[in-house]
Amino acid sequence: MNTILIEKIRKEIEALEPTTKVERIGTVVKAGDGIAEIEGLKDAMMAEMVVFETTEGKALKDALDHEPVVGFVLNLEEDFVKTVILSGAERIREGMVVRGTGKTLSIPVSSAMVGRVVNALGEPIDGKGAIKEESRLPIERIAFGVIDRSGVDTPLHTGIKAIDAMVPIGRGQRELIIGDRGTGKTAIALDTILNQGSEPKETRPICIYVAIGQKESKVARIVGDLEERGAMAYTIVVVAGASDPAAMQYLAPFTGATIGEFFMLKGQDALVVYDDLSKHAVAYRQMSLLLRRPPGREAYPGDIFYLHSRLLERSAKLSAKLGGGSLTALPIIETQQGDVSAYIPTNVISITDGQIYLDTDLFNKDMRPAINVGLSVSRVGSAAQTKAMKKVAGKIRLELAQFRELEAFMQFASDLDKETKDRIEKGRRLSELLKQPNGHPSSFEKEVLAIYAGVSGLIDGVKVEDMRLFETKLMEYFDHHAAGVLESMRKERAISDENESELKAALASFKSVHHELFIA
Amino acid sequence: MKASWYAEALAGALVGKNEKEAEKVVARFYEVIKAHGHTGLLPFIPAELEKIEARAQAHREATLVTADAKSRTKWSHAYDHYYRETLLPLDATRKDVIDETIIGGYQIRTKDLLVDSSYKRSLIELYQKITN
Repeated sequence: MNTILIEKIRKEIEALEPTTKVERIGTVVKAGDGIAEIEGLKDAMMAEMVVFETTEGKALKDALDHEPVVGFVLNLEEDFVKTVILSGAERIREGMVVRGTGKTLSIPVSSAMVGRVVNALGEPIDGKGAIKEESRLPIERIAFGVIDRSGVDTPLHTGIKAIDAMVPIGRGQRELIIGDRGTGKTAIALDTILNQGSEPKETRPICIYVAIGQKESKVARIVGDLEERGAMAYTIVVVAGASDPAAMQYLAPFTGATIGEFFMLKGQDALVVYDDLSKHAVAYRQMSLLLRRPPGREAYPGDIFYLHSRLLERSAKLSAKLGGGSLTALPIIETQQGDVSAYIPTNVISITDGQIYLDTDLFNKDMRPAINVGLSVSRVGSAAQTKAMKKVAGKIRLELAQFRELEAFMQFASDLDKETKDRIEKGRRLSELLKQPNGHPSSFEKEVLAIYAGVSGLIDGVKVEDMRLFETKLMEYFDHHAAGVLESMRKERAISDENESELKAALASFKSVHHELFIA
Repeated sequence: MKASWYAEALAGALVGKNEKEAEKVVARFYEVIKAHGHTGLLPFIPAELEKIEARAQAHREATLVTADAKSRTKWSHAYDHYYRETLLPLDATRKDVIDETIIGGYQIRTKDLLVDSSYKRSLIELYQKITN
């Protein structure tokens, strides 16, 4: 061993003088199912961290290697406090001493967390060593008030054409992703994370993916994908897997929000994906029932709405005085057989600033992403939409709405006039244009280009089945022959008159070069 | 309904009662339990009462833990000090315990307070300071 280190230890031991510590304690009277009932701890606070004295009666040698068992207070009763044990519940015994820490549950946070996988307590679980702590932040905090916030005015591009055009998301917004299982909810969230890689480094949001109650294999696959695509360079993954205690699953989204707030308070932008809050609600229900809190609708406790609202209210766009950082939330809710009127979905719909509804029928019709444009809405995002996107997106929403009406009518009518037929055909082409393969987010300027081509009438002569080929060729053409148009759109974030004429000329030239794609 | 809940109610009702009054309370308690159809819980209630009494006894106890019998007298003054400082309950009854694992020093424990001046705690803290 290093002689300097030995000397340092020797000095420390020589200077050691036993000190006296007066602590508040309690005694475990009952324990089971991850819950411990404690007598004593007279001045305990809500969400106070408590430490179970598992080293009592153990020799010093054994006590040194003992991982402490930690819990936090959730019920304050007349004679008892009920705590939730975070890990190592099997080591709790009746009569065990419990020490109050006088601190509410907090987690270590630091910039070094980027690129790492952590558990609900902020501890690394990816085997890449310890994370240097910059500060500790309480896991629960009151959301910023009206004065501390500013309006949502900066777009957060998802790289998904249908979303960026019709359900735009702004930085600081809370946009719910809702749908049945297997409809691509996680895929949308992950594409959004992947797309942030194309943002300039100085404005790129730090992404936090919170996996709640998911299979470890799925999380491993997601982390692998993010790593492979280079997205872990700006992403933190918080995991409370299916095999973790309900308490950890309950804490995980709050941990994600706390990490996000750390970056927001530094003036940076952050994006948190809560995947998913249905499982979070189930974990909280389990804990509440074990804590013997009265069950309400669907056996959820009465404060389930408050649980989600206080979590999602922490998303904000801060005022310039506070650094102008933002925390965007993309909560995910899994519905059962498309029922959006169930308890938890309606709660979260009413809390968030809009929702992206994924439809099983559309998914089965190979419309991917399976976004139901009629049921999806963004209440604040349009204020953050870029001028370029706003210019083209208004038209596509209208065209698609007309198409959906006519499509329903078409099922009954056999003889249609030419104008109606053309509208239906155009609607089909536009729907086809909005299709996007999983894991391939588009850059902002290419999204605008594709939609502009769609609404300007260029696609009118293209066969529906050739739409994907058309889009590929169009992008290739612009990359090689009209990169300047894309570049100026990317810089200006608008389609100026000058730009538009260049765009029209480039599109006309594309049409003449690839005339084989156009039937008329 | 649990036997422990009935036992707690009964224990509360019996506080400060003399023998005659206690008899009346018990008779009334029996009527209540019968009216609720919970007479099946009666055999378990005495055991629960014993637990409550043991707990109350433990609450009054203040334990002085030392590493060996020799140091007990040495640390008695610490116990007296905290008693005078009213950190310990006024009706506290002292109980002496020997626990070799604390290595040295002492610990004074009541229901909701721990005065820890053990060498074991100091050494664990030193270990954590060096290794973290």
